[in-house]
Amino acid sequence: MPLAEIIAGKCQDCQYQEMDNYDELLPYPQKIGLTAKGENVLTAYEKLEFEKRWPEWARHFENCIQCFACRKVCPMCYCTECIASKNEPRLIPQSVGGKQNTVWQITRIMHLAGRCIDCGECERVCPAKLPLRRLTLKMRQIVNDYYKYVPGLDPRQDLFWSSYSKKDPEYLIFKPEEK
Amino acid sequence: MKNYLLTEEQIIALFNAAAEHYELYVPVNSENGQVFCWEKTARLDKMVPSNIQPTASIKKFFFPNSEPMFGFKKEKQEIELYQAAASVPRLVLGVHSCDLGSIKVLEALFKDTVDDELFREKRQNTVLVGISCSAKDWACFCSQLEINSRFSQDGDLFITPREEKYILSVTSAKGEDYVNKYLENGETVAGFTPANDLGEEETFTLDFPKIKEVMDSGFELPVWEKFARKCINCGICTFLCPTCHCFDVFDEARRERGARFRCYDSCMFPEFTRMAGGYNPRSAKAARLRQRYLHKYKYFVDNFNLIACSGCGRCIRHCPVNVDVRQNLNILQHSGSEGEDD
Repeated sequence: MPLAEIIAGKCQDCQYQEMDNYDELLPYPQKIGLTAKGENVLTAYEKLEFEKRWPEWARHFENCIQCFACRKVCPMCYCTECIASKNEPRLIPQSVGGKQNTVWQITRIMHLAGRCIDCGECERVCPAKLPLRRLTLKMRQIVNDYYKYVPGLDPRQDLFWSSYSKKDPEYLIFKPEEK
Repeated sequence: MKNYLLTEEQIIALFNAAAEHYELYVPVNSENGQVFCWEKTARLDKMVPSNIQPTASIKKFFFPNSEPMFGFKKEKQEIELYQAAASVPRLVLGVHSCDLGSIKVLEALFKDTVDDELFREKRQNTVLVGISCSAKDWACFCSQLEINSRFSQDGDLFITPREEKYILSVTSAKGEDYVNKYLENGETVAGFTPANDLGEEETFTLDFPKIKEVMDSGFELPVWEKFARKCINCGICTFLCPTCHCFDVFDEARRERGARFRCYDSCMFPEFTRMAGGYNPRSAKAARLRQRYLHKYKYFVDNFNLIACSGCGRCIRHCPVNVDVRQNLNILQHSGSEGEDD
């Protein structure tokens, strides 16, 4: 059976099939033939008109049941106590609904900026089929555009969250100066 | 039990006739081919397919993910409590036998043990229309729980497709009221024998009395540890399960007004049993998974003489790490006699 038929969709457009930070490398039984989708998940979505995006997300977030499978399966969600489980003060609403779920999902995605390694597990496990990878890919894109940092790619590189350089752009804090 | 033989037009007309008074819910295919829940529709254009089991179970209609129990507000120094939401009459179409079978589990608790107003009102106001299941998948195991996927009397009405037409069986007093009120010129059929279960490709038979026996003395069995090894402690199995019913109650307020909510809680979450002082009697993953199994197949049988499982297979189908309750129960039912095998 060809590998492409049984591997997960997200692996079919994996950009990082050969990394160099291993101790031992087992030979691949078969090479995964890239379907050359690349960042199509994101680029296809970004073709959607801006005004149409929010209603679509609202519909998706409506379905979230706050089962926290996305958080539990995520290799980068490693907080010992998640903000969503804290009772006093409760920052993420415990009741479930479009608005409340949006708060949870956006909080988690923002928290993963500069950490998400795009394994796509959150999207795979989601019982409500939220297209979460669009959001995580977008965060990766922003972090890479502004800070030239791709999480997980180079273990020798300083971590995004714990390094500071005077050259860092401040667009995310201050509005870009108008020229 | 009365049975009517109706054409597609007649049956659609029957459900559309009540559209003014009832909210109509149908399982529909969304664009990505997934049906998350029954969705509200203004009118029915064609009959619902019989092969759709929505991801979210029927319990959402009586025991939603989160619901306001009452509202409160403070004016000057007066605190006023008020009813948060009134339930509206609803008609849910295309419910499979497994979901219908699960309702008596919820009723044992929310109706017979305590008279839960929120549950009772919703149940009274909802007409459940079952449909004969035409597509079991790899995760279904309702036959093991003696639920007939092709026919059920646990709802209010039940539809069996038959050669371009439909047999409508009236299975409750509420269903009868509905039919008397909205059905025009229905032709009754005598001698309708409900179809037998589709059956499953079972590799093993689950003997539930035996499993209960093993569980009675099996609190410390080492297999619990083994079952829990791959579990990631998300809440998918409990939230999607039609019979899981644990909840948490809390207040959400902003300034001078708010509401008391009841929402799902899951025994899979470590916070579920954590005490205010920090101690957690079920801090181990295996203890939490054991609780879920014992609750379904032992405690509920002890208390209500019902198995709190209807074999819908959602916990198997949607588990991110392939925890399969059937396989685990099979290991359990053999662990008493044959000892351990790892």
